[in-house]
Amino acid sequence: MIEIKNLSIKLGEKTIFSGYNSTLPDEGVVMISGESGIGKTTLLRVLCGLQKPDSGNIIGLADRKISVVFQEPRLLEHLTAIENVALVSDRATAVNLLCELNMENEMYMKAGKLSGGQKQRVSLARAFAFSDDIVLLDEPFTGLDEQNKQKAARLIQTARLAIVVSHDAKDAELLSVDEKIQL
Amino acid sequence: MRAILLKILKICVPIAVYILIWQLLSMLVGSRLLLLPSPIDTLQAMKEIVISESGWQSIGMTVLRILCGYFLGCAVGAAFAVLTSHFHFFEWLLKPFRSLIKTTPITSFALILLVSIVSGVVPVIVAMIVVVPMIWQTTEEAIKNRSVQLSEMAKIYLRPWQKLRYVSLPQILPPFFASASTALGFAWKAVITAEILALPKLGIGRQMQFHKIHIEIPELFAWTLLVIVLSVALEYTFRFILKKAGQRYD
Repeated sequence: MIEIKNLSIKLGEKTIFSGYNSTLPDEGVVMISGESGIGKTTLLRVLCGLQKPDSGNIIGLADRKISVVFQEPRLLEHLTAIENVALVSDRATAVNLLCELNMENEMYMKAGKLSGGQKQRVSLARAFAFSDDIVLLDEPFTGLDEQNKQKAARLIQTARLAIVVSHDAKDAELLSVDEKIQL
Repeated sequence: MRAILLKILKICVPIAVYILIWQLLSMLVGSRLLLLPSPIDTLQAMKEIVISESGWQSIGMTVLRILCGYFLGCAVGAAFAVLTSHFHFFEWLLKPFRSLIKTTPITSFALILLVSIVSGVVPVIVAMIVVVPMIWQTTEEAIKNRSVQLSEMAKIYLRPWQKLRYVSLPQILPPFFASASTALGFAWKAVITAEILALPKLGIGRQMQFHKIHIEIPELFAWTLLVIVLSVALEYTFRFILKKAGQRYD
């Protein structure tokens, strides 16, 4: 069990969390939803250590390997798709994941030349190549068509724990989420 | 083939026009005032320089000084950029120094240095002083403007050496190469100016000063032309190398 205890975060003048408490399961697919600007992305950033809370702590993340699919793909545009993924794993894993996400024809293209949806799939492949222990995903289906959404959803379901931020209620259905957290 | 021919013509025609204007002007005023030698006289003097041993020694020493000053300037500029972009203390301490070296005329530096340093070394230091702020400022800005998003991605996924090689350097090197390419031209000018003032044993600047004193105008023109040719050649070579080095980040 992952416990979020007494979390308080202020970004500039705006209070995002004030003494927030919650628990997350160790396994499964968890969806975090809520209106825009409520702190969904901030919560993911705290979970992966990119944002330090003003107070409070998170218990249960020690010794677990976390990977992140950011809202933007954040690829190294001067490298090819496969190089981006192979940077965090071995080449065979990178090839398998890219093929799984329908990227077999584009894996040797420079990331800068890929479309938005293709970049998003490379970003997903990189996350799963790094670790499928805990995968944090911020709007992972952005720019994907129906067929690729299905493929991405299947991959996300293979994670031991996937925490997905989405504003689209249909995504919960697609991912068959085990738990929903409304902020 | 036609494209190549057109490219050659685009370079050669303006040069021919300038030489023609030069010839006409020298015919009008040059012979009377000794101020403007003809292109033929200049080429003749240039030939004399190129076939003489002292000519090559002077060229060699000047190029050596330029390269030493330039590379030292690049290294020091980059080191200062790393310091001032990462530590507020160094930014606070060193920024006035950068403003000072940017605004002080190079002749002042050369004259001040001449009081206490060997004349042959002065042009090297002057070139370095010219190159340092150019490299420093551009590199510092490039370091400061690195993508926060990519840095965060690197924090999650990459080891420190991977972050440096794949995230930081590709963002810093292109602007660094661009300013390094510009700085080379400035290093040339600085070294020649400093040599004219410092009069080291060997050097293009010394030769130019010598011919100026003896009112040997064709020789003065020949050295100037040589400086232009060598400067352009060196700059093109560097640009080619830097372009090749930067291509991997395109």
